[in-house]
Amino acid sequence: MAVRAPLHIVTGKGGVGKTTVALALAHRLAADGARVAVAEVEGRGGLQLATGTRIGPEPTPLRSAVQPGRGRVFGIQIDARRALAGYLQRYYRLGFAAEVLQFDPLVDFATRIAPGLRDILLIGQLTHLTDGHPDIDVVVLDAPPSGRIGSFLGAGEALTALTDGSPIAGQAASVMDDLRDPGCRVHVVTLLDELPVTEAIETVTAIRELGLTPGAVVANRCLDQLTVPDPPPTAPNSIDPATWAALTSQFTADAEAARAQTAWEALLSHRTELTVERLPELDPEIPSGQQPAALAPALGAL
Amino acid sequence: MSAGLDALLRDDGVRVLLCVGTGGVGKTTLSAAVAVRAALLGRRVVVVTIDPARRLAQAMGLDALAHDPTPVEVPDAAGSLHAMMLDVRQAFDLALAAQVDGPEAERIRANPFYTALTETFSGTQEYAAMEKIGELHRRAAATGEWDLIVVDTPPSASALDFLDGPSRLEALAHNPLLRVVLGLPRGPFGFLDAGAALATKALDRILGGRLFSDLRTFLQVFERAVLAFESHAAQTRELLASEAAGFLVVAAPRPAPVAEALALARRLRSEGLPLRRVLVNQLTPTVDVDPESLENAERAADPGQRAVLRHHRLAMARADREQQNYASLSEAGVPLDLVGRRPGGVHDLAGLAALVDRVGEETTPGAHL
Repeated sequence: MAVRAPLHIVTGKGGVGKTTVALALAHRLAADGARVAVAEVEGRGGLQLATGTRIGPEPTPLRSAVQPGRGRVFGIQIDARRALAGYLQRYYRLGFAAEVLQFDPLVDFATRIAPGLRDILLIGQLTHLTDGHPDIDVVVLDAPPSGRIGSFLGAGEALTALTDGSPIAGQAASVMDDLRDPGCRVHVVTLLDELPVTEAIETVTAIRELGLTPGAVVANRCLDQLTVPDPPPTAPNSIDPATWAALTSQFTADAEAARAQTAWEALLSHRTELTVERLPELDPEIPSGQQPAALAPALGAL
Repeated sequence: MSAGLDALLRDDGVRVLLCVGTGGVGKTTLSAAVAVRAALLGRRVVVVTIDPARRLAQAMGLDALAHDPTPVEVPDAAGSLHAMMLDVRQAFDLALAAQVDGPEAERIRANPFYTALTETFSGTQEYAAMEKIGELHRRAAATGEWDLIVVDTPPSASALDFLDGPSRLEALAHNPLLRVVLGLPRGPFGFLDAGAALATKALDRILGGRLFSDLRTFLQVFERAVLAFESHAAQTRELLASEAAGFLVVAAPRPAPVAEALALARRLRSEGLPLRRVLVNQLTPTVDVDPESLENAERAADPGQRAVLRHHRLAMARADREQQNYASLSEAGVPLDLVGRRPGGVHDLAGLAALVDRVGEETTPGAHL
């Protein structure tokens, strides 16, 4: 049996920057010389939008990710139909696989309709990615949002319970085994605010309940701490007092917001018992395509 | 203050408003804010949220929201507000109970596929939401309890899922393969018997005998239930395409949500669904200072003043970047409402009311899609 590449699963509440963090992690690993595939499974084109590179079902080198050494970052779309083909080839004889694949209603059933089966196929394809691409060292998954991550990663468990004793039960169980391997870790991206922090804590609990290994909690878009000047600065001559009052109150509100973030960070780390990796709110002048590379150095050893 | 948004909320011809958009743009908060605003303006509102994390409940400062409309006290409201959470399992159970008799409904509920379907199948949330909109609309028409339904749509990778989800579920009932397996008439997509034999063989080999028979039992009853739901779904779709409905696309000023919002606006147009406004949320608030005064102040600033002025420059740079990001939303061809980010977020009713109270409006005569 082939040695599986480490798998980093990156999830989080919608809009917290999962794709950016997944790419940043890939850049971080590539800087150490690894060949990293960043995969997405929902066909939403988030990778394409973030990188400006057209991503297909084969590993595509990302333009923004040229490293001087051996390290490279590739993007890949995990497609349900190909995943079904891979699954059938792994577990059934070739002729049967070919027969099934040319029968559209059956493909449609397996990839879109049968509950949980689609997720099993996608995860199976992901954990077997290096079978077809032995040059890939690490896989980073830009995973579904935390609202659906439990049912996505737990699909194998659900299907095993549902299908006890049937042929796919064993395969669903092996998907769960691969996910429970210590080489597979689930990172949770969040913002340091009440609702995303609450959801991140729930997500880490759900990951542990599934028997998976949580990696790091990544706090994205962290504000710089601001010190409110004491005494409060008086209005400069050229700015009228009302405008100055608006400027200082904005400063004070943002300083307060940054302090509040620190409190959410403390709660997050206490409740999850995990390291919180802080990523800064980036300079707005940095174009979005360059953000992952800019954030990569801030990620510790995940 | 957005006069346009207020006018829409006051228009008593508008009975249903749906907030649509990609995850993380603040759809849940804005749908609550819109509902609170409408209640303040005199509407009798029920707001439906569809979120397992119960974020609306938190944002409204409530401990829990029931799965039935629960009154929410809005101080100084000329109208009223009810709020509820959508529970997919409960919505399906109710719809089932209405469509099939007791013992048969019981049989469906006991089937392992039913649980899997209601809990994990993508599209069920959307389907249940459509069912709930229809139910509330019928109830409002019958009892007059509400004159406006505000709907927060399910969290999904793609905002378009809200429109696609229901048809995916219907595909379950109409999939020709399943009809063959069940020995049902094949409809217009019939195929050769050889295909049927292969399908049966393949499902048996992949799923195994017991699971295959569970699936068959489940589908036999479920197919009838879905066909019955469909008549409601068709009525709801008609409602959503009418003048009594309005779609509010919610976006955040970042590239991905803007791209999703535009795709969504195009899609609504092409399906003849009434897109009313685009709400751009989470904007960095800025203070207007004329450039010359700012430069003069910077030249003569003491350290305390310099910290404040530097922070202001950064906020302006952010706001500029955000404006470049959302500028293309004018292509949606409807007015934009600009909603500022509130430091620390919105966690109570007063905060919700203040959120829409501060909305700015940018009327864009931009080209239609």
